[in-house]
This record gives sequence, C-alpha cells and structure tokens, in this order.
Amino acid sequence: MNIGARRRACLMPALGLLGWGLASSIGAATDGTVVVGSKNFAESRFLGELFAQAIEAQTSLRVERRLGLAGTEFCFEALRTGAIDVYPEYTGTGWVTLLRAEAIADQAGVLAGVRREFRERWDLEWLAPLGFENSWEIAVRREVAERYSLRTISQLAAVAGDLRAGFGLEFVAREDGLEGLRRVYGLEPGSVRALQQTPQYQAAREGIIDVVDVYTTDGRLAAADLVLLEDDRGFFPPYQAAPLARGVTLREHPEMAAALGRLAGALDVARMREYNRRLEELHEPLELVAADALRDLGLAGGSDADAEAARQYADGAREGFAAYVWRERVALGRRTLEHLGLSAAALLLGAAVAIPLALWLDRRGGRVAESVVRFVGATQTVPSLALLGFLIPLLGVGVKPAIAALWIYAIFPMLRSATSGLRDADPAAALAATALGMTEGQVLRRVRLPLALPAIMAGVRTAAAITIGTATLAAFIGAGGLGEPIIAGLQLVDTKRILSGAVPAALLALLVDWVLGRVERALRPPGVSG
Amino acid sequence: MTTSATGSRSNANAEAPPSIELREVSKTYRSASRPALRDVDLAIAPGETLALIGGSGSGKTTLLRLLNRMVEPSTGVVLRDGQAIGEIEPIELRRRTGYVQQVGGLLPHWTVERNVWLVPELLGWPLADRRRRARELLEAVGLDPDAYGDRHPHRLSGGERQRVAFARALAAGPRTLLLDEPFGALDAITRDALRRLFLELRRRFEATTVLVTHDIEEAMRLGDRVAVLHEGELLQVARPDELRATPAHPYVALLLEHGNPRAAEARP
Repeated sequence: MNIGARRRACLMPALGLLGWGLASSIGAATDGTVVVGSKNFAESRFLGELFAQAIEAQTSLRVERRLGLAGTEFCFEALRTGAIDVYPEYTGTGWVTLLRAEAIADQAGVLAGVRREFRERWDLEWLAPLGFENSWEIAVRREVAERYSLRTISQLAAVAGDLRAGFGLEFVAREDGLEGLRRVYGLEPGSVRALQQTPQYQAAREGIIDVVDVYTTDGRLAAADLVLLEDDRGFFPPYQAAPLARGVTLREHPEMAAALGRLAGALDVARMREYNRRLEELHEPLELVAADALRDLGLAGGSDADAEAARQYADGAREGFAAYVWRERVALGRRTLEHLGLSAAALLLGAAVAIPLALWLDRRGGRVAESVVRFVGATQTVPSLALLGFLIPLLGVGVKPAIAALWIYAIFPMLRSATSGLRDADPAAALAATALGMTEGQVLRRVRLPLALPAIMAGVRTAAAITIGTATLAAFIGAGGLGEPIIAGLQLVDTKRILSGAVPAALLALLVDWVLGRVERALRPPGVSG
Repeated sequence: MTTSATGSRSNANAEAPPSIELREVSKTYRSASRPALRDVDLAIAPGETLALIGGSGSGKTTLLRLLNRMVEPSTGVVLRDGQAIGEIEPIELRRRTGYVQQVGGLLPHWTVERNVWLVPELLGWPLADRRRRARELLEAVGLDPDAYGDRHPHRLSGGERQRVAFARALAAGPRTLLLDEPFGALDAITRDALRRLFLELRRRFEATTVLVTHDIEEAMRLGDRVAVLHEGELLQVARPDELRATPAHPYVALLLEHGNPRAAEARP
C-alpha cells in the first residue's frame, strides 16, 4: 500500500512482457538457502528481519536478506521471478494494487481472494496473517473532534468544508485514497495540502491542519493528540500483514512454512506500533528490535550478537555523528567497498563497450554514427528506478541488475566524448600522417587516439561521477553500497544514518575524480594540452 | 587546353618518361554539382618544379592529392615514372612522396626529431640511422639538432614548424615532393627566408616538386614552369617568362596584373 499505483500501471505490461520471455529462477531455493526480501519502509524491513530471524532460529536454513527493495512492484517481481523467496505484504495491496480488484471491506473475502488468485496465477502463497492490519485511517485533532463531536468519517464529511486537510502525497494521488473518499463519503475539506508524513504530524500538532491520513500501526500515533475516525461505510480495504512466499520454496522447505506459521496472529496493532516507534522515533537497530519481538513471542532467545547490539545501542543512543560513524565503521567500510565495486565494475564494462563502439563508429562515420550516439543518449533519459524495475525479471535482485543499470548509464558519457575526441583530434596532423604513408590503423593508434585521450578520459571521469552517484540507488534492489544507509535513514527518519552514507559517497566521488585526473595527466601525451 | 602540357626542361633526359603525368584526368566528388577537375593533361619532367596556381575552388589541392592517391580520379590516368599509380600501393606511394601542408601538419605529441624521422620509421630504418638522418635534415633546414631535436612542436615558431615539416618531407629521400601552400601562413620576412631555404633544398635534393600556391610572384620565382588552374581547368602551363610574355587566357592576364587569384577574380 505504500507505493504509487500509477507507476505500476506503466511498469506492469513491460515487466510482464520481459518476464514472459526471459524470467529465470535466479536465487530460487534450490539449496539450503532462502532469500527474504522487504520493502523500503521501517515496518516492512522489520517484518522481513523478523521472518529471517524466525527462520534462522527454528530451521537449519541459511537466510539471505534483501531488505529495503524499492517498493511493491520491485518486491513482487523479485518474488515472482524467484529472486527472493518470501517478503511481507498486505492483503489489501495484493487485492487492489497487484490484482487490481475492486476494493471491498470484507477482511476474510480479501484474504480468500488473494490466496486463490495468487496461487492460480503465479504459484505464490499467502501464509497466515500476522495479526495486525496496517490500513489507511482518517484522523482529526482531538480539539476538532471534540468541538464537532466526531467519531466517524461520515460525520467528518458533514463538516469538512470548515476544516483544513493535510494528506500524504500518495494518498492524494491514489484512487483508493482521497478520490475514493470523495466518491464514497462526499468528503470535501475546505483546503487540501499534500505533505510528507513527518511534516503531517508536526503540522497537526501545531494546529495548522485539522485532518490527516495515518497508518494504523504508525509509531507516532500513541504520542500524537489525534482521534481516529471509524470507516463507517467500509471504504478502506483490509490491509492484513502476512508473509507472501513462493509455492516452490514452501514445498521444498516445509520447515520454512512452519517457522513463519508460528508468527500467525502473533502481532497486534499495539505491539506493531511500539516496534515502529522504537525504529522510527528511537532509531534502535532493526536486528535488535526484531530479536526482541521474537523473544516476546517466545520463539527464540536473544543471541550473543543481540546482546552486543543492545549494549552498543545503550552506549550510543545520544552519540554525535562522528561517534556514530566510528561505531559503524566496519559496516560503512563494507558498504564503501561494495559501492566502489559496483561502480568500478559498471565503469569498466561501460568503457569496454563505449570505446570500441566509438572506434567502430569513427570508421563507419556519417549518419549511422550520429544515430547510434543519439540512441545511446536516449538510454540516459530512462529514470533510474524504472530501469532497475525493468531489470528485475531479467536479472533478479542484488548486484547483477545494479551493475547492469549502472553500466547502461556509464556508456553514454564515454561514448560521446570518445567520438567527439576522435573527430576533433588535430585533423591537420592526421592528414599529414596519412599523406606521409601511415596506414589507417597507424593514424588511429599513433596519432588520433593519443590526441583524443584527454577527451576520452574526461568522458571516463564524467561517467565515474554519474556512476558513483547513481550507485546509491543500487540499495533499492538489494545490492548494498552506500545507498543502503541513505535509503534506510530516509525511511527511519534518521539523519545520522543518511549522512553516514551520503558523506562517504560524496567523498568517494571526489576521490575517484582526483585519481582519474592524475591518471589523465599521466597518460596525456607530452606537448598536448588538456 | 590552350597549351601543350608536355613541357620538358633543357637539362632533363629526353628519353626518360615524365616523373609525373596526367592524361585526361577529371574528378567529380560525390554530391558535387560540377567537376573539381576537368580533362587535365600535364607532364612534369624529373627534377622539375611546377608551380600550380589557382584560386580557392580551382582544383589545385585536388590535383595535388591525385598524385599520392589521397584522391582517386573519376576518369583518366595518373602516371609516376611511366607507371599508372592505380597499380602502386597507396601506402608505399606516399612513403616515397614528400608532403608539406600549410599549417599544423606536425604531430603535436611527438618531438621534433621523431616527427622528422616519421617516414624512415614507417619504412623500418634502425634507430641509429633514423637519428643520424634526422640530424642531417634538421641541419639542412637550419635548425640546430641539439637545441630542437627534443622539443615538441608547440614550442616552435610558425617558421620553425615549417622548417621541420620540410625536413620531415625529405627525410626518406623522396624523388617527388608535394607542397600545399607551404609558405601561405607565414609573415613576409619568414616567408622570404623559407623560400630561400626551399631553393637551396631543391638544389640539394633534386626532387620533382609540385608547389601549390595562390601567389603569382611566388609561382614565378620558384617554379621552373607555372600551371594556371581555374575552375577545374588547366588554362596554361608555361615557363614564367613565356607566361608573362604571352598569357594564353584573359584570366592569366588578370592574374599577372593583380598578383593573386582573388583580386583577378574580383574583376568584372
């Protein structure tokens, strides 16, 4: 329910098409390893981690985590194509967003519906719901609720003209959000502002807005002075949280189904709110909160690693940025290496295509060369998240699609600068070399390429800067890198964590640019200015 | 054609074939509306210097490039020492043909010395021979090999660069030299010095030379004969004194009167 349905509408046919022909079962459970995914917000990450720990605690399976995938379509495609084996999903999302069925309020009906359809269409299984619903709800400030004696959305609709609403960006955009409320309840607030979640709470606290949309399990609800209104016409579909898993995996590893089955009905709304509060407000480590939850459910004892995490957390709750980075140095070092590895692989593969292609186009010349460069340039305009989405059915999730996407972006700057560098490299010198009897190959190798080298290297530097910057998005498809703390930090409203990814990423870009600048100077032929 | 193009120099061996010969050569570039060269007949004796003068678009650079197969004729034949050059491998042909262009022909990333021995290097000469040859040639063009050999072209003046270009063109001892306005971009004083150098080099190396120019004074002073090219047609080929005495075409007369093709063409 957390992802724009609109983008899905564009992606779905293309993904389906690609998927039909080319889907491969990368990463499917053929050995003793299962892959757990999640979306990129706190509750989904928490449930993913909880699934992973529950499986680890109760079975001998090895668990690989791909938490924080960019959203519903990424998770679903990854699951359908076998790149992950299980992830937490909401029945309402399955019903409305994935099946595109008409929203109904019947909880049991929706669950039965998604179970039947997912099994028939994709061999995917909805395991027993976890016990809580995370739906959209409409809330008003307590003062407003008391002034107008509001308990239901119908009552709100009657007085809404006097009130100011502040709704989430997605809620305003979605058919099953504000649009539907207008249709079903005739709800027309005096004014509507589209806001991010965090400012929403703040604006309500300061009395700037009266009506907000909230998630049932939001950890901030307990502290906020808001009254939830009853959905008396049953507009919002039920969003029961449940593990959504591949049928193949469950048949192969019934012990995984059993382990996740023990989470059935175990989490109520109050508990989930508390875990969300610990994650989003207190910034406690995910692994620690999930381990506590598992212990609360009586499914596992805390391990040594959990105890260590708890101790570190107690030490570091009020620490500054530098202390945070120092404590996280090992993880950040690993992220930095991942980031560098992704970028370097993409850059080398990009150069391996761009430079030979530039040489070929140079021989070929004319209109063909122009059209090829323009076509490659067009790849640059594909939004990076959409490109990552396209690649999931082909390459699954993780490092492979990340490198593929970065590779595609890296080609153009190198191709363009290499072609123009070759074209503009001292034509008079090339002419003289030809006139004095150099072969075409000699003119290229001994005159034009050396003279084009500064331009080619400039293209490599541009490509490197783009690649290192874009590689932060690799975390959206589970490829790690410095985007991981940035994206997790954005979802967990944790500035320290965001900066701990953003600062090293920026430094890395500067460092690589400096190094490539040195390389360029070292390679530049004497007597040629840059 | 107003003049028989088979000229011969008094000191040339009458029995030897012309060093360079064009027979009814025409060239029309793809996508061009009119031919760049039309029915050109021309013979150049061994050791002769032919000054080829014409305005821009007259076809003079095309004619020059036909001689080392940088351009192929549409019709007609080009012969070198009696052999049709269509039968000579272009790379081999070019390596035994010196070439100097107006500006910028030196390889900027190579030292002066290496630029000079470019053709010997292509021909596979041993390093010691190349080095000795480069020294000889730099001395011949008036540059001190010790002072200039290791420099890169960007540290030379325009005149020095053209000296190096001449040294490079002559390095492998070519019997033919093609010069495409080699003095065109120089100031008056430097140009004069380079022209004197050219006369000296010609005495010493005795290569058959085609000198493209747009300066009638230069053509008259440096050419054994002068060929006037206008809009793709060869109007007259004659010794300078003959040309001055009996211009065969009104354009030639205008050219002699005004000194350069642009002024001649500007006349109604």
